[in-house]
Amino acid sequence: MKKIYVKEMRRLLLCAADKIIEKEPYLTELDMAIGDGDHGTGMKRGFTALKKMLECEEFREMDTLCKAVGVELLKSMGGASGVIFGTMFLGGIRYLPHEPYADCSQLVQWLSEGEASVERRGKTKPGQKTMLDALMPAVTAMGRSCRSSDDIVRMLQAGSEGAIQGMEESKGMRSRAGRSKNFREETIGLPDPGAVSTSLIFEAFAEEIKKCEGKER
Amino acid sequence: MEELIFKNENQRCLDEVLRGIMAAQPGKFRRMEDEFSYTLLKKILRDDKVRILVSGGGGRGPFFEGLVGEGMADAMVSGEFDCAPNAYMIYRTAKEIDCGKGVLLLTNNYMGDYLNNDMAQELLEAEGISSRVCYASDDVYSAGGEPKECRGGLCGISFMMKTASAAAKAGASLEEVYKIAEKANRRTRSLSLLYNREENQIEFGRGFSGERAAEYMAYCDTDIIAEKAAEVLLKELEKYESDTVHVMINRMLYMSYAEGYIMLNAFRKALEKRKRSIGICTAGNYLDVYHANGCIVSLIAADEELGKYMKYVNGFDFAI
Repeated sequence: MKKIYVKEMRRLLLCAADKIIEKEPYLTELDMAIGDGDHGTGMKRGFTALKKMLECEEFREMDTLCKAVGVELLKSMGGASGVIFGTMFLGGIRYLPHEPYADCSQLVQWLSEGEASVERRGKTKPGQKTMLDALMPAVTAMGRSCRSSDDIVRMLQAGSEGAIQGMEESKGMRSRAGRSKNFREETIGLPDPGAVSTSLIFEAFAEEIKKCEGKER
Repeated sequence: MEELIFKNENQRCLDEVLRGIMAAQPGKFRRMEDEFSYTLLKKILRDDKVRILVSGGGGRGPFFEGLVGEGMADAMVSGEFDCAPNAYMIYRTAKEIDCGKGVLLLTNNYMGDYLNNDMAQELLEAEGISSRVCYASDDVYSAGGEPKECRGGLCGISFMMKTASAAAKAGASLEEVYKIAEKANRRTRSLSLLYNREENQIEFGRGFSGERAAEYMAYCDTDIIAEKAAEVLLKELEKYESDTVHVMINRMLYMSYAEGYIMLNAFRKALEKRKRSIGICTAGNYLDVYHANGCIVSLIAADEELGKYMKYVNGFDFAI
């Protein structure tokens, strides 16, 4: 699969929304333990609003769709997560074409720049137990896949594996950013809630793109 | 934070709070609609001056919805419970109240508030509206061992708000108002003192998301508690040892009116013992984040410049 169409991207996003909404209790439990407790409800609020938007509105171009996604998350979630997850979609929006489809390298550039924007905005680097610890390995793995093959299914699978591995590694980290840094050593052992959310999104992308493969466009 | 008992399941309770406030104070406020945040603005913005916009997570109040009024903020934006409001709404509200002299954005120093105010400021800048952001970082026991600018904010924001508001009213420019608020922040320290019934202990500096207290003290007379708390706070304010100290006792849900004034009086004694001149003292219920018996004590060491702006300010149902 060399191109992803708006219709398919929309399905990926809907699948991510369902996953986040379903996992809200787990995200809340984690954030109650090592953060301020609002991550799960914030993500659920954001992805419920996103779902509603995707179901009600029509999008024709990749950049228009992903921009609307970022803005919707930013507005509906509030908190740190709103800006962070909004920025993940918005930061690299200029790399997505104003066309009904995008290819591997455009997706990689889009999300890589999104990752860099999250770093800048949050003044945070990977390794501080944040969502970047899942996002960074996800985009790195996608970049690697993209250089050896132009298959989107393969690339999103690599992204999902990278995100999950990064999320797992965040368990061993001590938080150095956001409210959770006050919990210090107590944060070791549990994954960062933002990294869990990020891995859920990439997992959903990988799962859903497989279902799109071979379908009529 | 535990949410509310008296509420309607299918309605947005923070929205109903605002409607209630508007009913109690007819003609004073107006709102801007947003599905995900809560905004209250002064209905009439008479003076041609720098505007003050305060924002933060939603809560049991009166922070922040009670903070719109004479001598306080011109508008406030709050998010859902414990959640910073979104950058767009901060931006839209600032744009709405600006009269060309700029807007001071005031908020507590938490990641969500930082990110959204930072982004709001960029959105304002893109439209040529000048704004500055001040982050309150008065909580002495948060971010242990890190510099003051890494700390979170508790109740100190009210000192910043009222000095900034008074300076703006006196005709100060945005830059000057910003400097006043920053100065107030530099000179303000807060500490939470909570009673733990199970251990019969006083906890110094427990965080409101469940962070463990920095210090514990076996239950004892309030004068002794205040003595120790004053020691901690004044040590942080050593640089300003000749300046007047103003005191704010913020009662938590289960601290009574009487206990609030016993605590206030205990601080008066502790300050007098150290021969400090005492300015404005208030005890009230301003920011309830702990759902406990206890309080947050805030002290500001105000120099002459800040002192000019430190006046009692009356909200419609409290004084700060």
